[in-house]
Amino acid sequence: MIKLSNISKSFGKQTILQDVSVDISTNQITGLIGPSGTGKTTLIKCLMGMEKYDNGTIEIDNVTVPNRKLLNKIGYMAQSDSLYHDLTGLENIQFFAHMYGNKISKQTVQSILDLVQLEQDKKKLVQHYSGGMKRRLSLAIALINQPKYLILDEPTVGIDPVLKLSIWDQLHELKKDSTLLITTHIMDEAMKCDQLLLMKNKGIAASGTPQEILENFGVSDIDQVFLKLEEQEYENAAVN
Amino acid sequence: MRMLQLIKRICKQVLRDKRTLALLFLAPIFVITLLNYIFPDPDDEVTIAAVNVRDDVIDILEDNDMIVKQEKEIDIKSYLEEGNATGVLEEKDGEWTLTILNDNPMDEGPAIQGSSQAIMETNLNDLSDNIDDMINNMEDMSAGLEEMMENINEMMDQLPPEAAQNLDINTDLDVDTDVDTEIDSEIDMDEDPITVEYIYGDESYTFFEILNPILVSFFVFFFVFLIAGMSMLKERSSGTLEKLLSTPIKKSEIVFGYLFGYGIFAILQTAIIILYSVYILDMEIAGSITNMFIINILLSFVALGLGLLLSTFVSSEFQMIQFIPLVIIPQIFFSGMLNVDTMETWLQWIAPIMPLYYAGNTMIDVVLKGFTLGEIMAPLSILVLFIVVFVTLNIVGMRRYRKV
Repeated sequence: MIKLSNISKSFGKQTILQDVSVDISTNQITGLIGPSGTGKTTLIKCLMGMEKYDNGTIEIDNVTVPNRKLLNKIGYMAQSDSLYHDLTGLENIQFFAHMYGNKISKQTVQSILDLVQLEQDKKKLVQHYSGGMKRRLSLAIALINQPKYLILDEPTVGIDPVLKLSIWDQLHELKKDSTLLITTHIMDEAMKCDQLLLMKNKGIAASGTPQEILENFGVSDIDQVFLKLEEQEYENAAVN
Repeated sequence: MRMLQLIKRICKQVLRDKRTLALLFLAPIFVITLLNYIFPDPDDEVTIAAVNVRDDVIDILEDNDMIVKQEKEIDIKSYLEEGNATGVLEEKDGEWTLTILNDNPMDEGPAIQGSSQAIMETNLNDLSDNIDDMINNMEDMSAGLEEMMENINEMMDQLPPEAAQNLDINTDLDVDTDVDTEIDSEIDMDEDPITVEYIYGDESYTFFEILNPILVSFFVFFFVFLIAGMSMLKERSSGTLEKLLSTPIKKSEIVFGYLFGYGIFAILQTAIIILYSVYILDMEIAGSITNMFIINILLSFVALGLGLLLSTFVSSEFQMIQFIPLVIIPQIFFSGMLNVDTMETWLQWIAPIMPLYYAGNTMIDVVLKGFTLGEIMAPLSILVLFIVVFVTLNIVGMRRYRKV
């Protein structure tokens, strides 16, 4: 259970998050969507304990973030490919596996390699990988500790459509045991999530299932929701 | 456990990077070898051109291991520019002139010294020759006097006895004809005018002998600093440090993993540089080689800590390089090559904040003066203090990436 209450975060004078409160439902894929610069990554970093939030509380399984041990339960995939280019794919996986302390079986490694379809290239140095392969390897590493919470920052950037579909199938498979939080700004991917959090103006402007959101705003796709939000903003400004 | 895995990974990465390996192990050996041969051997002969110089001066110059070229009419400037000799020695009306280009103190120093020594010796010889002449003259004089006395005696004998008595000449005039001619006119010129006693080492020490222990430390510091800093920078900029900190690894495990991972290579590098200097280049060491290891291994950990720390403040490799003139070069001046005690006061205040100040001077103490472990405890503890400070700062600095 991830619970954020009244989170605020600012860098210097610039406020990124203001009074954000949200519960992230378990065993669901929650999509964090919004234009770039709205604080998606900052929110995730606060959640991981990488960034300190100024006010409010974040709790994961009733433990207050930041807490180092909590990281055992979290799998994280950053926006950039955080890989050692002078190691092979397999060595990257093994290295990060060891960072979670307890032994991770060969079968787990194998099933993850199969999942991201890197079995054939596991002995290649990462510097010879294509962009998509690196993205898949990053995903594999995020899964290595079989995390209860999986936090993925733009996981499908640079991945071809066929593989993207298979990854989404896998993600839905994973939600049986895990809670997933995914950021994206590709709107058709947003529709694949179970729950959506729309970020706008330093906070969450709307939430619910994709269907609910579309109905509430009376539009046919997510992009238009943001246009609507923009309009509302202008109206509010005019009223004030 | 995690730390061991981190160390294993670092080893794997370094071993795969052939260039880094070469930089770590071959570059210092190359530079130290170069330095060993680049400084002039004190036994090397200096060439002097002699214009209108007396033979005896030339003899002395040659006795003092200088090569003398006898010349008549030369244009001194172009003669020296062409590299025919280090200096030109001339005599004109009893005035001696040595002309040098003044562009190479290493060779010109001995040329000046040798020439002035030769002229001094010549002057001394002349002086003793003069004394000899004087003595000879006096001997001649006394011989003449003796002859005169004998003549007078003969004359007296020929005179009638009465006349002789009236003359009352004391023919037993005691003329000491034996002027003491045993003045040691041959002042022994072969012996040095002064005996130099060496407290440490002997006269065979060249500048290299003093420089080399400092250089060993300098290379350890420089290369370890560079490689640790660069690789940590790579880890930061590629996002792998952030990824690493998204796992439950402790921040101290990362810092120590780095310290020991690169520490292994630092120790290997130190060993190779020291063994090479001692066994291949025949660097003489008065103290124990173990102490050399202790100093440099501690220093390499200081360099590691500093390299990792400074990589926090840079965003590119080029910015890391910019730290070299700022952090590395100034330390050379304080590392024992120059005497800190005679520097300006404010410089004397700067010296103690530099790790190489302790390492370099302690290396000289061990290598040249044979200090024991007990005698170098103080600087060693300061190096340990540097390590503690840098490690702590590094761990604190990791908070930038994770708050716990």
